Amino acid sequence: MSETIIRGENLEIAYGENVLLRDGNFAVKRGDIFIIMGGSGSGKSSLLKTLIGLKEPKAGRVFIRDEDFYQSDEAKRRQIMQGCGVLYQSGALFSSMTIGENAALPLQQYSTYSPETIAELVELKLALVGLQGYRDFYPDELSGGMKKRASLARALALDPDILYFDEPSSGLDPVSSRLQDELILEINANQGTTIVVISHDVDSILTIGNNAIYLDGNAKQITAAGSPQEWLRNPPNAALADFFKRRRGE
Amino acid sequence: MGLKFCNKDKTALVELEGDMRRFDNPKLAQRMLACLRSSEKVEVRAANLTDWDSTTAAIVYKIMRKVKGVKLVDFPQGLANTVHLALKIDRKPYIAKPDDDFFANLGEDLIERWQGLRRALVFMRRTAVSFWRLLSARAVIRSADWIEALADNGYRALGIVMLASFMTGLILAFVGALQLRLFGAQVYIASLVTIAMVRIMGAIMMGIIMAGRTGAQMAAVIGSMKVNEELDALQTFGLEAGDIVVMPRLVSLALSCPFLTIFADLAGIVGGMLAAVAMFDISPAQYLLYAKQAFAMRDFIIGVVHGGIYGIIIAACGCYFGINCGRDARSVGDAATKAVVSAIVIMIVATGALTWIIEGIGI
Repeated sequence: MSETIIRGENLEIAYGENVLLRDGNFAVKRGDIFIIMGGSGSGKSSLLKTLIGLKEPKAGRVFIRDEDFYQSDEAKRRQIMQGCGVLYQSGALFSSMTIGENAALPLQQYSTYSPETIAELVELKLALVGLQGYRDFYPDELSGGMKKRASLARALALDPDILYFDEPSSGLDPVSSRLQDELILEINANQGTTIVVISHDVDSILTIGNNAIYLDGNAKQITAAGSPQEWLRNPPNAALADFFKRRRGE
Repeated sequence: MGLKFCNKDKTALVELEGDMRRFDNPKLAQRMLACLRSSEKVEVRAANLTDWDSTTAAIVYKIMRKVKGVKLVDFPQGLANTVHLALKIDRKPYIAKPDDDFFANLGEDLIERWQGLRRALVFMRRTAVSFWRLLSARAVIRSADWIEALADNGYRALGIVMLASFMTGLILAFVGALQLRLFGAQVYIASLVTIAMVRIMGAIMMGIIMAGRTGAQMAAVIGSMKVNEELDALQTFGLEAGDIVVMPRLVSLALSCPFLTIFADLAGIVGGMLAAVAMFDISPAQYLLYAKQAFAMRDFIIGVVHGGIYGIIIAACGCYFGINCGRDARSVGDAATKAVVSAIVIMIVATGALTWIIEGIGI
């Protein structure tokens, strides 16, 4: 049985008095492709922010590789996050830097590699996401899908053992979305990277996910945890059944 | 442990051994590639490779890109798949060849400048049309925008404008008095400061401060609206950006800048008085008497009119560069910089032109 790499314990996430999630408990195993599902406004993005250290929970704890993230000091948190890559919804590339410079930035900041090795790694990472030859392009010269892939190359720079994706297929056409899913599966299979994905794209969820939680926006709770493929066959609650039904347009 | 290679009879062998994580030896990798280039067959073995990461994959990827006929033997599945994935999509972008022709570059530069001038003329025409719509009560008016613009460009800017003008008056008095004292005329500090501040310095100080404070803010806010597609949304709703975005800013700045100029004049005169009283033994009453004698309504009105014109220039530059901003973070920064620099340059040029006109027609 593989070890737990991320664990949420009794999490409560709120903006002031507006509670988005109560009593959130979940575990992500090493090597999982873990999906955080839920409708709009259910708190998926806020939960992701909590997992990547951008929003402190009102109550509860987040463990990453058995380290209590929010009880750790600043230096420890930074160390924990070095092993994590994040792909933001909009790509969040630095517009004043080329794609190559974007991908090289974490390596220059956190590794002691020589400039030649950094250049080789950048070539490899860009090639892995299908952007070979685009090293000297600026983000505003790329399409939306290419920006996402360039952002993925940057997220992969430090060989993270955990990768977070915020709605990876949003704004992509079906073909690009499928290619993105294939890339996620390849990264997971080849490097054993644990992947946490926020998504409400049912086809993508069923293609890549092997473990998931469902956030119910009305109940403000995690109302299901398990395999999305199993949920499609036997929905554990009415909200989830409705989610699958409406999203697939049945 | 690491990377070993040899080349015998045009057949090269590369051995990856042990823990090759964080492999960072570019000189060895370079020597290996030089060795492999003369071979016809290359075999890369990884039977004794215990650990690998991206640096290992980068080496293998480099070999496979630079050398033909490479065979991977006993490779861990993940490493082989990673390298093959990197090689799978070999899509080269189309990169337009830069034109080095002097005349072609000159032509492109002239076309770009012409287009910039055209954009400025279009902006001025649209602004004039919006102003006419405002006067004829046909423009969409959001009172919240107007109140916010008036507050931001009015009393919220008062403190910093007065502080800068106070210091300018103080410095003017100090520098002027050093010279006037040489022939015992330091009492005329009051006249010097009053004429300078009221006629032009108060307006200029106000203009520079407002260009840096408000002009940059306008360009950044409108530029961010462009990035967030808010300006596109206005256009698709059939609303005129000039009515909603430009007019509140332009009119509020044109109205508030003359008042800010009056306060700047006052602060400068008070700053000069402080220097005169503290450093040159002139009594406050004496200073105020000479200041009153030097004060001319003609100079005051010219200064206030300059203030109003500067307000229009600052708002026009801020709005123009914001509206014509690109769609990324860097462009917003560029727009703010251009708005400030252009506003200051145009204000200086306008001051020269106005002085020439005023003296020419003898106002």
